[in-house]
Amino acid sequence: MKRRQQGILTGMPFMTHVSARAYVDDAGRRMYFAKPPARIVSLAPSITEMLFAMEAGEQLVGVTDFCDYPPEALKKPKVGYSNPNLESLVALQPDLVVAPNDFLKPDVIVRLEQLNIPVFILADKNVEGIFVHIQTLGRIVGRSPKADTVAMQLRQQVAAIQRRIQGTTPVRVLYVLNSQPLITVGPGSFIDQLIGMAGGINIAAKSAAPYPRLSLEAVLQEDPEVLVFPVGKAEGISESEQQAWLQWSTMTAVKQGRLHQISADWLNRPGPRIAQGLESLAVILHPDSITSSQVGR
Amino acid sequence: MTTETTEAMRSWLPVGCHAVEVESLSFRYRTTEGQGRMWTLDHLSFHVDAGEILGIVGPNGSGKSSLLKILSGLLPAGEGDVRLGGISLGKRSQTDIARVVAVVPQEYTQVFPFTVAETVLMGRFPHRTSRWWSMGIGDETANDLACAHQSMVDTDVLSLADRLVSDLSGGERQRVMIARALAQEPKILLLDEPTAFLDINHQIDICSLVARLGTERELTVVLVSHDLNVASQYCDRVLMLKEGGLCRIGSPEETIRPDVLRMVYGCDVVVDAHPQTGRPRVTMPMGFARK
Amino acid sequence: MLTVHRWVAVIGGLLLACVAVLVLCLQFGATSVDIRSVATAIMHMFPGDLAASTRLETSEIIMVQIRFPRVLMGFLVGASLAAVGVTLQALLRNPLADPYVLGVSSGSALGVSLAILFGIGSTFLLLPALPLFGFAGGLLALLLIYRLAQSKGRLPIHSLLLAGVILNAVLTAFIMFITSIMEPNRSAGLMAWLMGSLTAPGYPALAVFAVYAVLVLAVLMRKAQLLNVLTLGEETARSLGVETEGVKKQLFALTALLTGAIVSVSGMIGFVGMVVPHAVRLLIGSDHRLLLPASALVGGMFLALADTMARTVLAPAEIPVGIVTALAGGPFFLYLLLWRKDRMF
Repeated sequence: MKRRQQGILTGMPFMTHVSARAYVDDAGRRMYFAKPPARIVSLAPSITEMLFAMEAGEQLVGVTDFCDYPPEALKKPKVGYSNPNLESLVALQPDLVVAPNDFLKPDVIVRLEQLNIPVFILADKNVEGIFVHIQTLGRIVGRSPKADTVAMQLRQQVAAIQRRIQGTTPVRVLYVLNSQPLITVGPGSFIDQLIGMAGGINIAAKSAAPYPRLSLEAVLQEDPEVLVFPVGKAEGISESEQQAWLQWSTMTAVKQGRLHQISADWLNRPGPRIAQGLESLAVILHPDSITSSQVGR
Repeated sequence: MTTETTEAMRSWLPVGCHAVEVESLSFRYRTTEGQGRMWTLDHLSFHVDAGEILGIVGPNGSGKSSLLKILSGLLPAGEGDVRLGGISLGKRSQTDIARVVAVVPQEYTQVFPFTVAETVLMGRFPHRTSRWWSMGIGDETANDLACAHQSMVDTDVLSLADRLVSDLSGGERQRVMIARALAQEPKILLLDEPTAFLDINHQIDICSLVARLGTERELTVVLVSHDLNVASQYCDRVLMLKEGGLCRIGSPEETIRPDVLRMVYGCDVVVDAHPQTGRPRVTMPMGFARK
Repeated sequence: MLTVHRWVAVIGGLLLACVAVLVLCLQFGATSVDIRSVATAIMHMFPGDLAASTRLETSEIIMVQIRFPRVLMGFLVGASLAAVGVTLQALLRNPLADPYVLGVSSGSALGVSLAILFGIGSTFLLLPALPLFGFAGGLLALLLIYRLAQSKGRLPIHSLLLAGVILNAVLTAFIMFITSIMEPNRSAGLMAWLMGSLTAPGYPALAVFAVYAVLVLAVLMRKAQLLNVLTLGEETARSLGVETEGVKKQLFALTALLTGAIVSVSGMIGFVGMVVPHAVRLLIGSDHRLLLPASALVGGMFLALADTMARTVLAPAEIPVGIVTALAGGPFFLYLLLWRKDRMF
């Protein structure tokens, strides 16, 4: 019965054509592209990285102010970030805008739709979601084979990392987004998932918010074994602020000298470099098991 | 009591000096300097005797309020000399002036909940004897309290002592301000339009209070008033200002006259004798008033 | 009327209440710490016991290094905010004035924003960086307001207010600009700071702030009688022998110096400086010799309690203490506005 219905639907030539070129974005909106878009604007650094990774860089005509990877992205025209400049965006005459669900000013998408510019929204839920996004974008922009290869390689890398940390004891981690006041990542945030995948336990797991201001008392009580400081060009915790953590001499992380920096871009951007980010985090959390496997490789 | 007060006044006032001596005083506001504007006060000379009530009258902008502010040291005398008790204002400190002159402002608003007693006690500020460690707590001496008490009795506000100043009516508040001025134990009392915002009942009330205090406390009183009848009925002498210059000074009979008023105010008024005191009384002419 | 007896009774009572509140605040936090360890922890804090500090339990570290300095800092900041509020309300003769009205706070906030923008770390020239930049920004704003408001050697109140309001607007625009060009992850940190928050200071920083605040409060206290006279109006105050120009300049400088320090350690914590003086005035009257110290003590207790709420309501997460003070202070202020109109305005 079911099979027959499907047969009827797919059997209609008109429908097959639509289903091949129609996509549903993460906001649940259905979009139809007659041919691969040639002028794409990316509204997130992670999306820019995805498009370059699938060799669709030439189709990219506009990026955000913070798109700095790969270096070719720096040469693309800039349109702003959370509150992009609509005029320069429209002037680029895009036939597709790919936008993240977070950070963007809500009325921007509405305005773009009023201007008949299709906006495809990507919501970052989890790591597997990144690979699905890469494949979906690949089909939209006509780079499906390359995108599928990229996604497959990433899946393999992630699986390899997880195999290597298998059997290790999870490590208690504090990820310091901001020191004064202390802001960290909590459940529901992307980085919280990465910590779990890299064999760590986020000590802010009991906080109700994705980016909570964590009580210093709770930090000492939970006694993290590793402190991770994201660093980068435009963000991150400075050296002297990291030094300030050394005053908590009873903390295991301080006693064992396990204060580590990590490239913020790798973890903050749900893009193709996520495997690198996950690996560096795993190295920080489980140096023994990872190095040994690396030696063996 | 009277001899004592007179004694005190004598010690304050050197022999041969008037309570207030103004000599060739000229003044203009700094903001109008160099603009060739007229002097606000122009070569003014007069004196006020001890125990006298002098009324200053004149049209709007004739310099009445400026003159009062100069007498109380709130505005610096421009040119000329102002002496209180024989000593130039310039040679007295602000506190020193405050021990001789008290000012009752035209209007007083208090946004904070101060009681009447607290407000009157603030009049003792120029006489405070603060010890450096006390931070002002318990500075009020028995003398301060007695003085504030007497001032409240004299102005009939003792029953209001614990009320908030902001809750009082206009007339009550004016009396509290007079009480506060009296608590300063001044030799000279300056009042700026004391009846401006009061109804007729309270006008009479405040005017008789000032007249009574002048006598009882042998105060020298200078008051500025718009109301020619107030000046005529309650003042010993009247000073008439016109465009910053002294137009005339003398007894009410000499100053409140139709010809003088026409010259100063530029309009005709009816002046007759007050049925009770015989002093000049000013009434608006019939003009275009409806019948 | 204020007598020595009444002053001692009120202030003494409030001091006792303060001790009770501080002990209460020390008992609550993200982690539960036994009250006895509060005592042992406090014993351990005294010098000569440095060797013991290495042996301290985590719960004692939490008490000694985190909770105690933070509660004390909250108390000091609250006391300073309330005292500055009282002073400015009297100086400006405006019951709505608060410590942030004169633009000094925006200068401090801008200083901190710049420090965060340029990624200057927790120390700068060996001093805590954010407070240092905040204080420097506040001082510059103070000088600027002074220059703007001063005319011919005088400091008219209305130009002081006007200069403050305008500078506030301009500096706030600069802060907005800085947040808008920042990487969103980092501007979140700045916003969190701007919202007003207390962190556990190190003891040297706490000591510096405490000495500074207590000194300024003592000088303000000595000016309390002058504040009383100033509420009569500037001209009346002068006719009572007050050198109003000098007093205004001193009070403005003192309050601005303290505001700069407050903002530099705690950001913008609203409502304490405005509401606490009101409440205390309703209870004990307006005489500033009593009102000023009483408001400082009540303000200290209020902020210490509010911060305890901020620390515990969503534990282990915290909420900005400015939110708690606004939520507690806002309705109270509405009450004053609607039902006590006759008294207050």
